[in-house]
Amino acid sequence: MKRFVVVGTACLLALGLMSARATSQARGGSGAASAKTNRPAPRLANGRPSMAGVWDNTRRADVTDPAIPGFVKELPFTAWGKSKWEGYDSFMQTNGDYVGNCLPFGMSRSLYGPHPVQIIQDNDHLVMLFEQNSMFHIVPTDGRPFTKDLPPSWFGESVGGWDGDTLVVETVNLNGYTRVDTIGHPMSARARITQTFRRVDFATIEHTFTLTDPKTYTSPWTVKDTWALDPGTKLLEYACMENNRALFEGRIKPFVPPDDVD
Amino acid sequence: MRIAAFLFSSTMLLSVAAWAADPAPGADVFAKPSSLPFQYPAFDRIHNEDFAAEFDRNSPVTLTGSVTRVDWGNPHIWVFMDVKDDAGTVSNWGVEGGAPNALFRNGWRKDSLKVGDTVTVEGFKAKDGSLRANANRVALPDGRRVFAGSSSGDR
Repeated sequence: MKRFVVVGTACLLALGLMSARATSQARGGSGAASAKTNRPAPRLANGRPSMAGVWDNTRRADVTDPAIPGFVKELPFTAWGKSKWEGYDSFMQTNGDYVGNCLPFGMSRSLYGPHPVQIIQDNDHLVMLFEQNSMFHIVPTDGRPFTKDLPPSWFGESVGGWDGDTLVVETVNLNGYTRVDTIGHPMSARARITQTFRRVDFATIEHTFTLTDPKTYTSPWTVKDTWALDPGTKLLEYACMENNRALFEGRIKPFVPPDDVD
Repeated sequence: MRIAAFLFSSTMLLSVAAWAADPAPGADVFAKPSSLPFQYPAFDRIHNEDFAAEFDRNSPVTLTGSVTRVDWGNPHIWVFMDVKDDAGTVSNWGVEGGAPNALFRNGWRKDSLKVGDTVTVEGFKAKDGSLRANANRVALPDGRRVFAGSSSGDR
């Protein structure tokens, strides 16, 4: 496998695509998506752009990592958010790690993790299939509102709508147990996630992830990604618990949810 | 055999750099595809879940021994091997590797490593002093690398 080496001062778009290509090749994918960029975005039956495909979702273990285009320069922590950020290690020691317990990674860590993502879409739904833990997330795009009195959950509840050819997905009703990224930036149950998906051509999606979480951050912040289509990668089963020796043998504690995230 | 904990010397750095330039699929290998080639991608990570909970980056270890079992499963594979120390005592070590799907995509198969194969593992020892390690590299005597890749990134 050839490792990608970035040289020079390429523009952010090019950097994003290059990163995605490298990830594709690391996954054993074709890495040949750019050959199709001249083709227009495919359309749904209703004429809207389709986001369907397997995508080289950007690996982003730290949303503030300046080596990855689209990063956040500085996270505007509240006092509560700062305490959660600085106390993550000790929290995991006392309460266990939800990821180590094979619990759901939530939206951002599933999108920015090392495993591929597939999108399936029709007129009324966008479905995200995450290889990480074999999870799925359904986003109705038929204009329905959020469900009243739905108990909060790891991925929350999403609804989608169109702003021209850009799909806007709003997610609320999160349980507040997940972290933003691998490194452990916090979020609370008051968080609202706004994502935009714009398929600029057949093989490229421009994606944004905005977190509005007044308990944790004093202002919203946004991560910007460019994903390349990766038709050579097929999602595989990921049964997280089957060989989770660290949990079975007691080296990771059973997860105890935090009680102060509401 | 030898359980040679070695200093994190320039030799080690070169060894790791050579691996990083041609990475196999440990989860964190995907972490920074545009990073400089001589940066081992796992070292700049903290909060790496079970790695941080279990293994010590400051305790590198090299193990050579005979494979006794391979558990190919999520979230990470485990390879068990008999390792003989300088006094001739044989101990069975457990070595954690990468995620099976990532390994598969990079050409490795469930039976790529067989019981009885002699392998050399470079990795990091468990914090609790038990006979476990997290592998950076697993190599056969002819130098071919198998199951390379660490679980030190996301799962």
